[in-house]
Amino acid sequence: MKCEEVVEWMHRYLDHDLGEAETTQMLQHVAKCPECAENFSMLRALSRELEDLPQVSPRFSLVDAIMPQLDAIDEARKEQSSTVQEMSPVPAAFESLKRSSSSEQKAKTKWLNSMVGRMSVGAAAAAVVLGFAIWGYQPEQIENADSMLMSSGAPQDSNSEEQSAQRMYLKSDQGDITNQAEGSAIAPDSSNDPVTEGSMQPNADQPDESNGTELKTPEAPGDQESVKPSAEGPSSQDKGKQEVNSSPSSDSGNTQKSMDSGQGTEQKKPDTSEGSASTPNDKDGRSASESNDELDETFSAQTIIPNQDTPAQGSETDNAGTGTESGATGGQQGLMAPEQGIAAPTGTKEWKSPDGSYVVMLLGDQLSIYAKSANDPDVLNLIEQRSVEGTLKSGSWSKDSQQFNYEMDKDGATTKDIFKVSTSSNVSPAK
Amino acid sequence: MVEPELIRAAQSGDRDALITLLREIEQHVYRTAYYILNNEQDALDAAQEALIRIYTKINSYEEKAQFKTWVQRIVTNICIDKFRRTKPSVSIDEHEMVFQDKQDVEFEVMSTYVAKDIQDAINKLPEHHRTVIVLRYLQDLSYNEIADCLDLPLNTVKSYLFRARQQLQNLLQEYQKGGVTG
Repeated sequence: MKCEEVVEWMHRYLDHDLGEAETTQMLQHVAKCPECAENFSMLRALSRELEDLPQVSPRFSLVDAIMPQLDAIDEARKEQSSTVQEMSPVPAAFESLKRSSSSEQKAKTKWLNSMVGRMSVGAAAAAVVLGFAIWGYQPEQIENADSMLMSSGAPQDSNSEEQSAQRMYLKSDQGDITNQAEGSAIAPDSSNDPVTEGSMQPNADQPDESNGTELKTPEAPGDQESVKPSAEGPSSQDKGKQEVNSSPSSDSGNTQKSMDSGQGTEQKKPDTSEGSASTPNDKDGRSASESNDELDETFSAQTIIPNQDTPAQGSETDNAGTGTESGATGGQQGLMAPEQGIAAPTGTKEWKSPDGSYVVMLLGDQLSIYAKSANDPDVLNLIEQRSVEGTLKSGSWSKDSQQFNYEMDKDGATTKDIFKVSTSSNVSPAK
Repeated sequence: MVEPELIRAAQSGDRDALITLLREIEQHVYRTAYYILNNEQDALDAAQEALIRIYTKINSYEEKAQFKTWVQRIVTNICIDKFRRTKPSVSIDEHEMVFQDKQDVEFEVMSTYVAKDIQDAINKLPEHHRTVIVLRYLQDLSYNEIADCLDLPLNTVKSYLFRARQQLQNLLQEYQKGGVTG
């Protein structure tokens, strides 16, 4: 038995992780090897001292100290729940979004409302359906879906005025036609809008993204708003499509980001899932049942549009609907769909140092720094592991391979951190 | 050990149960914070923050995990967070202040001279090594429990713990030789 192995067993022995047979074997070695014997007695002494560390207690009752804060939390919760009850048809997420929106956004909302005044009833109804669909669907979402949603939300928002204006024109054009015709007439147009907008402006949402949730929150209502006009009438199919389309296309411009924000903050989740989380459900729930009927009616009028039957297909395939549908809507989106699929499962990132002797890996929110063993390049020794707060935005090695600089984004605040190789490798045990 | 019934009651909205539960874990939470942060005031802050978080998030606890590891995960996350935020900004003055402050407390709680050395040595460990040591020795957690707590692979926990002990040993040897103790 090698001494090195014995040392490991000693540690495991101290942690009550060594079986009886192994213990005997280890002790036999220790009895014969004076070096290991010394090491063992020192380790044992250390472990005993660690076990004997004083069990400190706080000077005062911490629970008593935080009682006022706990009361405040309860108060806030009560208030919140009562508001939610009043507005019961509107999901809480939507509520809180509305509340948190900036005054500027509120002004915009008002403007939109006045313009769309007569549609607001229909919009609210659509929002309810959308909301429930979201709640129902959320847990099944891939984490990365957030980012897709986010990116889809942002360009939409930046164009929400434009978009709604466009839609409005459409509506006024066809104002005399029945609701159903109106709905389906809008469908192809509005589904195309986000595509072009999304793909033309992949960068437009990046600043939003990097600025984090503060910006994000006020945006979401805008997003909602922009959905409203189109949601008017029974054309939820229109909405579903629009979101589906916009997510892959804008995502393609931001694949990297989707990884980053995959671990997004809690705050972001409700906002963003609102956008795309609803898509499949929305389709399932509505377009399958209701809009199918509508489609039949409108089909004859608008046979040219290939989009029209795609939602029906999509609705049968749930998640895959995204692929199917975007594939059908146009080559552009068809190309993007696979990319989206690739971006989704990515979770690990790696940075090799320029001289190749260190590797930094990002797994989930753990940043691990490994040193390559001099003897065997395949062996990685973990030097340090850190957890990343928020999302890791970027990371890079210095030229001399001595420093790894990285930036994290948490709740809109960017923090920089440095990992120095030299300092920590000093600390690692000499063998 | 917190009774499962108490946890269930707390989760079902029994506020008294939740408060009782917090009182039961208060010491454990503080202890971890104290040894990771090595500073009484920071430990008090972190422990309170953790208790508040537990209060608000009690419903997110699922019984498939151990309650104590769930609690320790919350505390350690807060501590590591705090530790990182404060560490670069600690000036020498502050350091001395903290040290004096600590001495009063330590006077009561520290039984031996060695314990102080060890605590100083723990304070010199990298944050994850330190955390692992604290969870192992102050909370008496097993490898698996520590892994759950810190979301680390089992082997990483072991190697952290082994390396941390090795480092402590080296540091303590230095103390004995050179009298580095302050």
